[in-house]
Amino acid sequence: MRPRLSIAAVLLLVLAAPGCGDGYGVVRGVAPAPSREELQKPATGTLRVFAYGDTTTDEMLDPFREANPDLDLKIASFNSNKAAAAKLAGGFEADVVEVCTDEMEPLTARALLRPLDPDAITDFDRLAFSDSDDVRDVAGNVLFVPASAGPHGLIVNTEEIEPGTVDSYTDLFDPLYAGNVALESSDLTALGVSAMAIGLENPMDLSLDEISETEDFLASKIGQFRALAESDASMVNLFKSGEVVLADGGRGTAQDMIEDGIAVEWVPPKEGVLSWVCGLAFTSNAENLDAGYKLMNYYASPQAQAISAESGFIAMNPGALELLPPELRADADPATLDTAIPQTQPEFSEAYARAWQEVEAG
Amino acid sequence: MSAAPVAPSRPLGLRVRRRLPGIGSALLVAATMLILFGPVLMLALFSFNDSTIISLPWEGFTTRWYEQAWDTRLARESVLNSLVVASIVTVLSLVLGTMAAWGLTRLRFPGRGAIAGLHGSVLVVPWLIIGVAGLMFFSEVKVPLSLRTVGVMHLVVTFPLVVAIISAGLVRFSRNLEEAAVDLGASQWQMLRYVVLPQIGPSLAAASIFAFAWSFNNFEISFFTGGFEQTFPVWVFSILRQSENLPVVNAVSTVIAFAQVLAVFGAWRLMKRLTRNRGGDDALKDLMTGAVR
Repeated sequence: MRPRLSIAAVLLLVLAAPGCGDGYGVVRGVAPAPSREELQKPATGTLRVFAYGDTTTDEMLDPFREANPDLDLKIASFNSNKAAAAKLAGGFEADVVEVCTDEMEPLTARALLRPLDPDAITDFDRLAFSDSDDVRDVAGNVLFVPASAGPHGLIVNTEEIEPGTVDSYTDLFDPLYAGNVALESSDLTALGVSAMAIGLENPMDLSLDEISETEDFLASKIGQFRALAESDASMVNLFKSGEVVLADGGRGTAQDMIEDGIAVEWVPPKEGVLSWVCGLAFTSNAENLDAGYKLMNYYASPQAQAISAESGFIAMNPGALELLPPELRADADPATLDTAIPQTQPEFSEAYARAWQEVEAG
Repeated sequence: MSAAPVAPSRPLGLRVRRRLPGIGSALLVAATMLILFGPVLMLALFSFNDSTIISLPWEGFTTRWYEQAWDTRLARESVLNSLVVASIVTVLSLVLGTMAAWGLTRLRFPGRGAIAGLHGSVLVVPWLIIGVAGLMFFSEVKVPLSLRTVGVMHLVVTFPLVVAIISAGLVRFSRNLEEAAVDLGASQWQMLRYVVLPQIGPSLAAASIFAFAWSFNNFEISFFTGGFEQTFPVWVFSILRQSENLPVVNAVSTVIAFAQVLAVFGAWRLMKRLTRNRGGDDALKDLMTGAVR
């Protein structure tokens, strides 16, 4: 579960609008890619990267720095795409920005991104979600190179529930587990999971009627849940105390529990897992495109994805698996994402939020 | 001979009733202390827990989160950046704020009230708005974002605070003492050095602590006006996406909280020494209230 965004950040988008710096807010064509020969050469100049702090660690970037000793790599961090969009719209200048499917709308709506040429990314076609529409704009241009993901399925206490008996989101609503189930308190995942439990197929693209139907279902079953977990930490606490034996949740959260000695397993539901997907994109006023493409190539490579997987993310490039210790391969396997439904900002996102608020309020 | 009369003991109910206010006060203070310091103490406690999960039961004692924090270059750099910015901002805001407070409380000039109100108005503007305004300003005037721009915008919010605290100290301090010093032959500098500064010392100390803390802990302004060198709060927010980073954040935060407590204690000891004739308790009260008593 990633930290949700504050309403204040949304307000900032409005506040920051008049301050657009040069080059932002202008729709531009695909960023021209360097030749294959040029891509092999070390990058030079300055590359300004704006990203989450946990995907731009020294462990991740040191090999790239060593391979490009004449490149001045500058990193600035943010805590959400909405905050990033506000800062970019206010005039902050960067070449490459990390974007996530479930929160990139402020960036695309303000034309803060510039499409890229996937042919310049050697491993692009091997990456999980590379063929998804969610990494493209409405014209079909690729907006970002997928670099990390977090699948969201079911967390099951294996001491209380026999392994293999839970494999569907419908199990969250099974009276057998009444009072011992938790639901992640997020409008997107809570409604998405519930929608799949009642057989709706596009949990991230529900119509207004479907949202209403899902809300009614969820409201009628709210007594099923022991808690609506506000964070990973509270979800872990609920499992650790034994109050909860079944919940929806991320694979990373389940891994944390296992490392702490809690007997749980993460189960991909048969309806499909939800997943946040993040990656690297060009800003609309990116200057050092050559170095940007080289950085994207590095992030898409098996070597970089192996480092990312060791930090707890899914390896987006299957080539990374053979570089990982055997005990990490299962958790990092991108095959988990084969049936994944990317978490995206729905068309009726406000209706999602309102429905969830009403359910929470009882 | 009859035995001396024994004084009747007070009834139990009366004794309890007499002690009730004391007990109530103690409970209230304990509850307040728990609410104020409980979260920080929990943070410190769990920074030694041998688990990535911030929850009971206790999994064992470890110092590995501190070692990991020390080995994290970005953590070290961000703390150092925050220390440098906060130190410079504190010194500048103290110098400028003291001068402004002196002018506002000791001089008479047209528009004095309006200027005092104008600078004070910054204190009620949310930091988020100030951060965005700073970003847009620097963008318009083509000044690249850096620690300097962060410092300038921190100064915008700490300066009025320092002015308010020191003005309060100056207003409380009787001007008769200044006039007496001058009458006795003191120069302006001697009057300032030997009469005014010792009197407003607690206000200066309180203003320093608040200015430093406001600058060091600020996220909103630092995020929007910072460039590619990040401060500690910006670094913390950027890595909280993964919950396993929490123990390292806990460890660094514990060290910082401990250092800040030490700084306040140090300031109190210093004030006690400087104002020995006024008594340590007064110095402490002045420090905690910015001499607004």
